[in-house]
Formats: sequence, structure tokens, C-alpha cells
Amino acid sequence: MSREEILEASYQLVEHDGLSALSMPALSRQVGAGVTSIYWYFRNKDELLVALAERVTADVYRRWKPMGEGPWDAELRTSFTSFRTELSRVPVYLELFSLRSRFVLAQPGIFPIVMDRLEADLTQLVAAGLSPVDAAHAHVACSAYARGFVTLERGLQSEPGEQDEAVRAGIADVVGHLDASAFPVLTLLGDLEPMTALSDETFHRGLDLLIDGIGSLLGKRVAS
Amino acid sequence: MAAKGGTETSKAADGAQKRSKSARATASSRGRSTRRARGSLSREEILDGAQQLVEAQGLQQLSMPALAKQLKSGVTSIYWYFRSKDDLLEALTDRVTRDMYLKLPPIGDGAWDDELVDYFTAFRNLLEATPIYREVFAYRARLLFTRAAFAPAIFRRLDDGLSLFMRAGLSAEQAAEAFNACSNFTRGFVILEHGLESEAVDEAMTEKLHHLDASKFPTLGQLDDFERVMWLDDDQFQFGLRLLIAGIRQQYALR
Repeated sequence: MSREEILEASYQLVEHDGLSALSMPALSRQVGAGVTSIYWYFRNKDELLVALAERVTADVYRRWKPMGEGPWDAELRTSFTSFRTELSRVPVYLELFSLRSRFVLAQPGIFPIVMDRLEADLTQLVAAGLSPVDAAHAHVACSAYARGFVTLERGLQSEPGEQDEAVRAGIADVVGHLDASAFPVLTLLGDLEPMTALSDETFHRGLDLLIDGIGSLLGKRVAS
Repeated sequence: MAAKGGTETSKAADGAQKRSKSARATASSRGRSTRRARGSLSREEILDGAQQLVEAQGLQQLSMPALAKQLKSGVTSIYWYFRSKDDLLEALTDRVTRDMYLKLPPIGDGAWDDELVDYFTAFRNLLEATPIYREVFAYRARLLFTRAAFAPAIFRRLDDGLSLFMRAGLSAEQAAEAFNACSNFTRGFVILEHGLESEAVDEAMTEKLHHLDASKFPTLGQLDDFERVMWLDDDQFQFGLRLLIAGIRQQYALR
């Protein structure tokens, strides 16, 4: 049994069941080998987790489009749209990048990959006219927005015992009976869907607002 | 039911505590090792236990047997008050929602953008402070809206938030869109801040960032306080929210 095979098996294990499913006994069942052959390569679960995180990061960064040479706003939009697509693709990506991002980033094998990309993107934003501090804050804001959004989407999907359509109909019914004098705007809207929806459309709208906001920082700099 | 709920909440801080204290005294007088007698638990105590369980282990871990264990009682005492886990969950969510709503400050008369920052900052602070708020509001917000008993509390908050965007000059539809973006940003941000990280990891990362070789990273190297810039903290949250507000101003051609 090779190191690669064990890693592949642990990847398959967490791909569907999440990181909490990862344990040495579970993994040995998955590979059909004794626990000792796993311990030969990985002294403990943490070491395995690190190797897994390295592999996942390499995967994500290979597919996630960096900012190119075009206009900064279009490049930022394309890059973070592609980031969201990657995070949505495999549950364990999201788990690592959203809930354990600092653990991931702190690994010696991962830190340089993340920093190289950040440096390249920030250099583009600074070339567009942002201060380095604003560029960093803006980049982190887009990243946090994309990661948070996908995490919310995933959370919604796992709401227990409620059918999406039934929930929606229930909400519409309640809102339909609201007192217009007490809740003037909600009554006007008649539906909460536009306020709560997590969809491609709302993801892009939020990202566009962030990017327009970044653009306004540029405007200020030019003006001052 | 809504009226009854309201009275309960206004007394929640002292009343529930007194009730559970006296019940605890009764239980301990019977000896710690023995199980509580059936019916010795109050509804409030069960909800206290459920809230503690969820705060420690998350909503996923809430089950009748786990709760019985937490309360050192039999499952039947819980079923005396709650017919099913769904019933319990509804009562718990009801309580948490009213609790949270009471702590949220009402909107003020200031400029719409400042009021918006206050509105979402207050929301974030409450999510930060209480794990069960995060569980419910961040991941399962839509479930809340259909619960007639406490929907008014949430609707009050939503209508207030929307009215701030209307104050800025947006139509109701635009207000809903803009609210959606700010709300998703806020909820997502809080979830990321409270990932499954340990302090040791935070130290390791700070250490790494501190020793970043500036000569290899000319742009990053220009940041005075690089460790902090990467962090999801108050400053970063405010910065993101201000970006959204500036974006709203731009997109909807506001002054």
C-alpha cells in the first residue's frame, strides 16, 4: 500500500461524509488494510489531515482562475466566481477553506501557494490604483464573501425535515397576512424570497456590489 | 400563543433562573446520583438544557436521548412537555429568536448608511456572542419565518432593515436585493470567524505571517500590519460592509 493510495482513500472517505468521518479505523476499513499500514506513512490523524489539506489546496488552486491582465473589475469578478464554483464542487473543499482555513493556511506546504496567489492578485489591484492596505482588505472581503456564501448555501440544503417548496409557501402565507401599518415594506414586497435567496443571481449581485464598492475607493484616490 | 410567549420573555432573565434554581435545589435534596423523579423537570429547565446542549455541540447533536442524558432524567419527562424533537426544536428556536430580538437595538434616525452599519454590526455582535444564534440564524434562517408564534419579532427586524434602504431612496424590490447582499455577507462572515479552529492554529498562522519574507512578496511586504489585514476581525467586517454600501450607492445611483 502506497502513501498515494492511502491519501486517495481518505479523500474518498471525506468527500461524501465530511472531515468528521475521518478516523484511522474508518480509513483502514476503506482501504481494506490494517491500521498499521496507515501508521507507516502517517503517525496520526493530524498528519493525515495535513496531507489531505495539501492535496485539496493543490486541486483548488490548479482550477481556480487567478486574476488576469484585463480590467481589474472584470478579472476580480471572474476569479471569485471561479473560486465559488470550486468550493461548491466538493464538500470537503468548503469544509477546509471555510471552517478550517487558518489550519490550512498555517501548513508549510500550503502557505506559499496561498501567498503567491494573494501577492499576484494584490499586485494587480495596486496597479489599478488601490493602496496596498485597501487592496488586501478588498481581496479578503471578496474571499470571505464567496466562502461564506457557499457555506450558507450548504447549510440551507441540509435543513432537516423541511421541503423547500413547503417552506416557501409557508413564508408567503405568513407575509401575506402581515399588518400593513406595522410592516409597510414587507407588505409592499409580499414575499421574503428576494431578501433571503441564495442563488447564482444573488451571489453575483453581492459580488458586484463589493466590486463597485472597491471601484469607489479608486474614484476617491483619483479625486484626492 | 404569541401573547403568552411575550410575557414569558419579559420575565425570562429572572423568572426562568429562579424557577430552575428552586428545581435544582429540589433535585439535589434527593441526592445527586439518583435520577430525577418524573415530572420534577419544568419546561423551562428542559429548554435550558437543550440550549446548553446545542451551544456546546451544535444543533446536529440535539436528540431526545442526548438531552435526557444532559438533564440526568428519563426521556419520558421530556416527552411530557414535547411530543417530538421537532416540537422541542420549535420551542427552542422560538425562545432564542425572542431573546435575540429583545437584545437588538431599534433603528435610529441617522443617515441611512450609518444606520445600516449599526444594524448589521448589532446583528453580527449577537451572532458572535451566542452560539445558538449562529446555529439558527446563520444556517437555518428560513425555518424561522414560517413559525407564526415568533415571526412578528423577526419581521419587525426585517422591515426595519428594509426601511433603511428605502430611506436611501431604493424601491422595495431594490431594498430587498441590497438587504440580501448585506445579510448574506454578515451571516457568512460570522460563520467563517467561528470555524473549527483552535488557538494553537491561530498562533501558528500569526507566526507564519509574521515571518513572511518581504523581499519575495513586494506588495504584501508594503503592509505595515500584515498579520491583522488577513484576519477576519471587526475592521475587516466594517470594511466589507462599507464596500457593499458604497457599491449600493454606485449601483442605484444614490448620492
